[in-house]
Amino acid sequence: MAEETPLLELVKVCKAYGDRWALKNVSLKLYPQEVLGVVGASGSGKTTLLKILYLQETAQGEYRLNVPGWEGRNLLLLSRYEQPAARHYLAMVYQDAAQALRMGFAALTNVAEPLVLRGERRFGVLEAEAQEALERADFPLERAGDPPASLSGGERQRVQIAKALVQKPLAVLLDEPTTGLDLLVQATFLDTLRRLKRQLGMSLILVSHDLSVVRAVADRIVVLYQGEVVEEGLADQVLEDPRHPFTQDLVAARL
Amino acid sequence: MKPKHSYAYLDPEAKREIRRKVLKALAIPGHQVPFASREMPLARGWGTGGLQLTLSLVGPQDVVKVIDQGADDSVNAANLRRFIAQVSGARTTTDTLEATLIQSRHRIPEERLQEGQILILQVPIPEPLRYVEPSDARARELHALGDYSLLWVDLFEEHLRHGRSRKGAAYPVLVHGRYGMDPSPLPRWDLPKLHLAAHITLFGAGREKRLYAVPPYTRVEPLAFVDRPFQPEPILGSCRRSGCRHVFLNAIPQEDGSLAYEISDQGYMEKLLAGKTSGPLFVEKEHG
Repeated sequence: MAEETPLLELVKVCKAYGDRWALKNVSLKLYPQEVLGVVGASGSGKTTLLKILYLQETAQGEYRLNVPGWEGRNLLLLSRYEQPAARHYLAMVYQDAAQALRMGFAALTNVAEPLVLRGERRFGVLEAEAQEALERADFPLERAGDPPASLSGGERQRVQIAKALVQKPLAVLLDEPTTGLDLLVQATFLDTLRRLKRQLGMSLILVSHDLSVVRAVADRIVVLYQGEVVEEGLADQVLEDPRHPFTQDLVAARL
Repeated sequence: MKPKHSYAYLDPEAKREIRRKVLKALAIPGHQVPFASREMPLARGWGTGGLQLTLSLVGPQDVVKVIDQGADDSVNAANLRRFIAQVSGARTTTDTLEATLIQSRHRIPEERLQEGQILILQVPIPEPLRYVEPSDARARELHALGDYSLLWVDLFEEHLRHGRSRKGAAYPVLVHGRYGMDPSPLPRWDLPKLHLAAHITLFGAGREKRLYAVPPYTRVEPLAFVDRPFQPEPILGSCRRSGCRHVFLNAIPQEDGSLAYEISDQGYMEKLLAGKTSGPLFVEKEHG
């Protein structure tokens, strides 16, 4: 990885709930067109980290996006009325689709929603762009009119991916996107992610407890343990030659 | 003998409060203003909001018309009219052009209202975001931000599913390019009548304790996609009494399962049947 400017950067971010530290001095960078895997056990601060990245949680430290107009601004200091504008550059895919999707509205409507939020008022354009995004996410188009409530788990995740794609975000944040899916569906979903990364040059932050998922798509890995980054490096390097005892345990545990 | 109640039923403080809120509502077109909705000798949901507005504005010189679904003689309209006349001494009428105050539940009369006339609507749910944003606190925030994208998402879903909007009432409008407003139970047919109208329209929701207004000559635009223009209800038949098909018709189920149609605006139909000349209409061109 040459010295590129990162798309997104966290510097020494700390977060405490009461007197318990959820994150301590976490710094990370996401470079263009890379997949950053964030690995950790339950309670290691993965979800808190994502919430901070998606500006749903306040924290101390610095958070910068490399976007024209936002240079040098610390996103953690934004007011709640400025946050939506910054959030436009990010898209979030949740483990539980119900957190992101309107379960009673058609899949297509869900995908079109971010465009509506940005002020697109042409029905034809909304419909066409949402359909294209669903197609890219390998969603079966004949089900585009069905509400997510009647879709399978894998299909719901594809709707979420399409909803992220349609925004053309700087980075997509994925929170355990394959947890709860069966192995075959997981595999095809990860294939889609890899293809999108290759074709569209998307940058992703993938949070998971599942090392095989992270290994399948991530270029770099950050290991979180009790709210701290204990190891960071190229995916193969970290997984083949783990340094920190926790990472060693984690790698050993999946064998 | 001391009268049993103050003039026009409401006490002076109550009327003053409502008038001040009306002024505020007129100053911020489409914005919902909270008011202290009083107990009325009428059940909530039967027009207490509209009645309080009417009673706070009415004077002995006024001429009052009350309609319900366009009809002057339905039970609720007749009761309200009798009550208003009794407590205020105002004259009542069924002629739209003669009335200074018109209280209505569902319709705007077909004859064009003029400057100086006030239309008062009884509103069940004043919040246009109610069906898309369950939290009232959040809805108020969205109003403050002017963020009506949820209404657009809802509209998109309707067009996607049915190829058109199927909202008969409560079709959301944007007032003066700023506030999203629920035009209450008005059918889509009546919405263009609000746009740049000469009269004042006041909306009162008694149960929800909100009132809002459209001042004269204010833009009122129904939400619609650029490539899917807003459409009023089509006219599906012709009036069984006058043969007309140029104004809004009520569908009346018949014993044999078919539908008969009749002009909804009763005052206008009476004029037509009596051969009197009516005033200019809001919607002049032929529909159907």
